[in-house]
Amino acid sequence: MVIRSTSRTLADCHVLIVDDQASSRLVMSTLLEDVARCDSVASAEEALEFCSRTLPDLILMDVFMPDMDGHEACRHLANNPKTQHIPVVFVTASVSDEEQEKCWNAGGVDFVQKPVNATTLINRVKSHLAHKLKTDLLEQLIYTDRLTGCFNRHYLEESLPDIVRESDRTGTPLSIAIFDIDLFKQYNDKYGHIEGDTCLWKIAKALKGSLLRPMDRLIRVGGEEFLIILPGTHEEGAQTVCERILQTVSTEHIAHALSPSGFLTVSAGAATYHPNSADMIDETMLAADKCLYLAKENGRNSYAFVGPDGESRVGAG
Amino acid sequence: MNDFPVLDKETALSRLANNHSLYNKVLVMFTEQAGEMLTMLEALQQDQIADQHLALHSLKGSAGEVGATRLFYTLQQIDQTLKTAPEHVTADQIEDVIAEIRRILNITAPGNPAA
Repeated sequence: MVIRSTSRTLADCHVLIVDDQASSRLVMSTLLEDVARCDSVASAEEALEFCSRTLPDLILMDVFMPDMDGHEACRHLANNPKTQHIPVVFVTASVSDEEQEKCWNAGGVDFVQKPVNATTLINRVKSHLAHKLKTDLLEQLIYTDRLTGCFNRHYLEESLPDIVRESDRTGTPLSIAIFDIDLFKQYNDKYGHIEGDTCLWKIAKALKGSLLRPMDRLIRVGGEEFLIILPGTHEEGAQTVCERILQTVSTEHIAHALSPSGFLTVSAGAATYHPNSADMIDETMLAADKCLYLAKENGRNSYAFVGPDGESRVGAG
Repeated sequence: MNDFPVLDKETALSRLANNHSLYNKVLVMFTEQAGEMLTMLEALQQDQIADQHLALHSLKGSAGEVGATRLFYTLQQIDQTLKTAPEHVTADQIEDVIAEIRRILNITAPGNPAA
């Protein structure tokens, strides 16, 4: 029951071609059509706009373009945390020493001379895409839990500071929901560890499928303990999420003979971080954890959350 | 400059992995662009040449793609001069471009067996 990420291949990669000249776009996209999926735009501005919606795996960037040139576009991409890892290969007519220097300084990973040579273009693109795929795969292996496909604790530690900064920047609250499978040790003892692992996998899959928005992050922090990061979510939203976690697990109808209800249940706790206040994210995490204990003390299969007044409240799914 | 070929189709094709259909499409785009440039240059005052930097740069790119080697190198020199000292572009250079475009359009004109 181990989820293996289906590895992407070169043919799955997206290349964005940025060139103000129609014939150059045609040449590059035709030469690369058997290598990867290509999109073309005619200006640096359009390229930035494209990348704000979809992240390509590689950008082939013309240098000399009206309004914003390729170097400037590359610097914009490098300054944005979302786009800074997209490799940019400059396609430039001039490969003078000065021009080469400019390409590297702007943050390019390589350059190809115009008029392009098909073999060189194809092989440079293949090589950079292969590199990108390896980097992506490594990141995926480092940051995900192999059993459930959720993010892991390492990801939480690495990404939380950025997520908090984003909350501070946008001035929107950030909620943390923690949940834990009730009587999971008893489940493992009765049904065996393989069944236990299957449970973890089923629950993670159900939650990913039904509950999460694209910006939410489901993290397996420990054995049977999970955490959900909910950007842009206040106390009421966090409460709703807790309710739905409990509901989602109960609709899986996983039999657990040693549970009072006869089925596997979870308990959840949530707390909310408010940007630009005295709040510290560590305290929010701790408060969510305390709520989880409250829910457990409340007889399990229930949740607790810190309300807008700072008081903890208990509820049931 | 005259040692360079007017239209080196063979080299351009090999750069494009011998994709004839792609070459022909690019050649059509280039001749359209070159025709427009010709009309424009014939009417142009020499001191307005800097306004045409982008168009000249684009034409240089297409010229390179189709193997219009002589035009490519002439435009490359003009492009370089326009970047640093636009007033140094000479009337002779512009005349060279006009003459070269005419030569190419003559070769590529429909009905010409050499096209």
